[in-house]
Amino acid sequence: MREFKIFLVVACFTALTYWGVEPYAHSVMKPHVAPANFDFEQEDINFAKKILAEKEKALELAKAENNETNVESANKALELAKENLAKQEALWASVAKIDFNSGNASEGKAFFETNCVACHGAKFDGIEGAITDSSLGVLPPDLSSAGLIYDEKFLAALIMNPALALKVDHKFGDAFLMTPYNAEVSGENEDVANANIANVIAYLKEIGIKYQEDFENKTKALLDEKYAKLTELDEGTKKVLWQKDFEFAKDKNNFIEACGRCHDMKYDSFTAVSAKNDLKAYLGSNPPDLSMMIRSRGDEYLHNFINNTQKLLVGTAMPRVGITEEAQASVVAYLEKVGDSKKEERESLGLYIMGFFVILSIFAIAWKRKIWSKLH
Amino acid sequence: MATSESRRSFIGFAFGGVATVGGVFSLVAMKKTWDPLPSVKAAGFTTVDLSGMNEGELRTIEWRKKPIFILKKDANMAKDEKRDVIVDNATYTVVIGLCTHLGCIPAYAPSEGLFKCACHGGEFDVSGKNVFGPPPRPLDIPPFKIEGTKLVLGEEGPEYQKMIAEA
Amino acid sequence: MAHITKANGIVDWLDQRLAVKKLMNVLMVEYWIPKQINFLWAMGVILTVLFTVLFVTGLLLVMYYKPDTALAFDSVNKTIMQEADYGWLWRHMHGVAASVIFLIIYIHMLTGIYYGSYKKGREMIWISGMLLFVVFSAEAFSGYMLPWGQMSYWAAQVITNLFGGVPFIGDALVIWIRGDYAVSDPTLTRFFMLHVCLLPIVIIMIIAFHFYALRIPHVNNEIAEELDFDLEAQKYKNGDTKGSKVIPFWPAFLSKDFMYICLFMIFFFYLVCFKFNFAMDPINFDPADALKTPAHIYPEWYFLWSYEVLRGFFFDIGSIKAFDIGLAAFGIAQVIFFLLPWLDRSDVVKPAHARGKFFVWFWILLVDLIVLTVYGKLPPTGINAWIGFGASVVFLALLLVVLPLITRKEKE
Repeated sequence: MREFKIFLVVACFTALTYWGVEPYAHSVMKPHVAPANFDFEQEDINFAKKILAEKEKALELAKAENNETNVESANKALELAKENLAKQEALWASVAKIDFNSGNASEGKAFFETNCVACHGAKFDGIEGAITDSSLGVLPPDLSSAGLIYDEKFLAALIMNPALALKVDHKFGDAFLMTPYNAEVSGENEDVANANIANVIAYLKEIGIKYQEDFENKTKALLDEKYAKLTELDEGTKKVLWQKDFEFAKDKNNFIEACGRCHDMKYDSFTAVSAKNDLKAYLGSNPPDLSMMIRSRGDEYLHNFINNTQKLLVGTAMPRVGITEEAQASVVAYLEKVGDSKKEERESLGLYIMGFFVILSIFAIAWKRKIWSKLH
Repeated sequence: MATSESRRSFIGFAFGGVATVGGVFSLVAMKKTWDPLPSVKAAGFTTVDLSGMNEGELRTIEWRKKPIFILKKDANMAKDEKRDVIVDNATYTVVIGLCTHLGCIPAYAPSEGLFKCACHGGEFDVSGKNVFGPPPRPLDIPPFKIEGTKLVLGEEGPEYQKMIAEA
Repeated sequence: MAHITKANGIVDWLDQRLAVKKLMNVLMVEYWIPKQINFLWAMGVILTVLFTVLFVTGLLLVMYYKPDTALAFDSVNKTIMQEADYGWLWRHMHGVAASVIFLIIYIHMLTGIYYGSYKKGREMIWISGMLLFVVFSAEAFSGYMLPWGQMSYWAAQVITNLFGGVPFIGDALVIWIRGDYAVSDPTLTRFFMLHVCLLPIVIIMIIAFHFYALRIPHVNNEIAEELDFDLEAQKYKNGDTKGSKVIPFWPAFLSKDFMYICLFMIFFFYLVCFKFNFAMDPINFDPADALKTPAHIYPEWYFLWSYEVLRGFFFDIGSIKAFDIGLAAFGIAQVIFFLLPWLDRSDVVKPAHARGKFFVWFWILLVDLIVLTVYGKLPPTGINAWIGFGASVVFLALLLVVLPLITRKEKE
């Protein structure tokens, strides 16, 4: 009993130390953020409001300190935050007016071919974009899969005000690469412009679905061929491995579509499509290789960060990605499959080893008792 | 440990036995860590396109860090049905370019139609058969598979299996 | 020349040549340990097991590790963690064991302090143990550098910089240690040498000495009773195993230790497979970048208390710079425990709960160490800096002033 009491004391002090240096210390050091929200309208407005509240607090503090220069700069920051909130509200209010259900894909295609091809292609539908390298800083994305992996409201916001929707206005302002399209810019009637946006998104969605179907069929054919050769495996294992390979290929493709224009994945032999020096000139630094991100950041951070880059890394040049919840889960799954490829093995083997030591402990206790029976 | 003889009970052996099982498993895991990496194993396949070769030409390529001699036989060179590799109606000698005596790389002397080893004077003919000196057997033939005009080294095709079965 | 006869078995054959029976008797069967001990006395054997784990897994890791700043990160995170079969297991075991070994060392040390096992003939055990602690710290630090991640790089930067505080030769010393003007490739390769060659050899030698130092004054016991080991051993050998106050190292003591080791291993592998972030900081999975300091840098948890003593003194006093005061306090913290047998002025050897004021002193010290550890990790801003300062002052006062005072009184 006495032994047990001593053990409790040791365990309690150990647990206290652990709690202090791990969960507690990290909760102090990590910024607290709201979880990822895939309703981008809500996310952006809430985020702008939160910044506004912070700036108000900072102003009050500065006033209390009675430091004039601080008050002035806090005032300026507050004005900017207010302006930003107003911009966000205006943008999302105009997105809300678009009727996505009435979009007409074939009209959207016509619109795409006259307006978007100056930069973007849709190779899957046989449309080549005019810019095929990263000389502008980054390769303009081919939009074959855009309708599938990006949220429709985000796409609309992106078309109407690219810098703001991508959250890079702090860096590029109005001088952002992509020209906006909205009633104000084009001089059209608002209904006409909104219908055009709805049409082009309907078109992207239509080819997105076909693109994905085509990709899956091709992958299936490749895998069938690969597994037909592996005659030494039995059917059960083949099926499991086939399915794993298939999921991996889908996740990897989503990663390439969403992240692959800028980021490398060295441990999966993937190199970004844009040229490194172009990216560096454009963004200010080279985008990091993502091979070990799952271990260095963890999946919660990655989910929050991809959802709203400014939330966790204020001032970063990385744009908000705007992918749907499903596509984001797939991208993070890919990061985990590459960066923490042994996770499954680790967790199952862990249980086996612990089980082994439970059994060994039983024998060890029995043996100790046997020997000590002569000593007590 | 003589004095503990009497204490060596069944239960002590049982404990030792279970611990040994754990030890064996960890040794197996350690052995697997020593195995060649998957990337090393995957690099064990080399594909060569033979379509551009001239008659009488010798090409040396690397496969699993070893030299491979590929000789396209011309009309004057003796054929050897047991060792010749027929790709696209042409006859080739495909051998690992390491002397079967002690592993030096023999040099090809086209005028004599011989592979001569500088180390101990072993000689092999154009089919890779040992004709002089200490080498105990002909040059080894690497596993290969014929795919059109290409040769995949490292994979065992039907022609290779047939050759091995006959040898 | 010994008289060799025809052996009646392998043991006998070996015994005639190597005296294995006598050796086993001296080392195991007739090495007497007090009977009245609790599980805290198993920490030594657990440490030996953990060191063995570190040694064996380390050998497996060296097979694939490349000590080169261009290759180190990928050789660890790709080749070892993803490609080599079970490479991840050895790395996780190595990292977690390196962290957990310090927990056990601290428990082992505090046990020694609590039961008074550092004095009255046991000084050399204590000093060799403290030496082990210091060399283990160097071993842990040099090992932490090898994966060449962000924490590896910046920890190396900060710790090597500390030597710049040495009077007169500081700057030259820093360059000498790094082998370059900044932490770089030569730094990595020399710390690799230290980690896999020199320090392990030193550790093994000190462990042997530590064990040897136990033989003459013998292991202490739960009530710090002075035993006549010869008398008790004779009792045991005469068959009075129940009445004797000692037990043989083998099999009695070890059977108990094996039991604790097995139970401990369940916990250990839980950490290795499911809860490893405390020992393998996520930030270290970012490759080293000399142009970007991480937002928070902190040492591994077991260095935090002395790190906090270092930075606890954050303001200049008169003409003495904060950096120098901190460094001096840090220097004192590193060596102060070596002097424990002499800072304790009393010759009473008893468990702390039988020593009144010493008992209170012990728990205040423990709490202070935990406060230092936790605040050593928190950002040193606002109130945190003052708590860190207070705890550092308390630490120094406890050892340099309070302990000699209360133990002198105890003697009278």
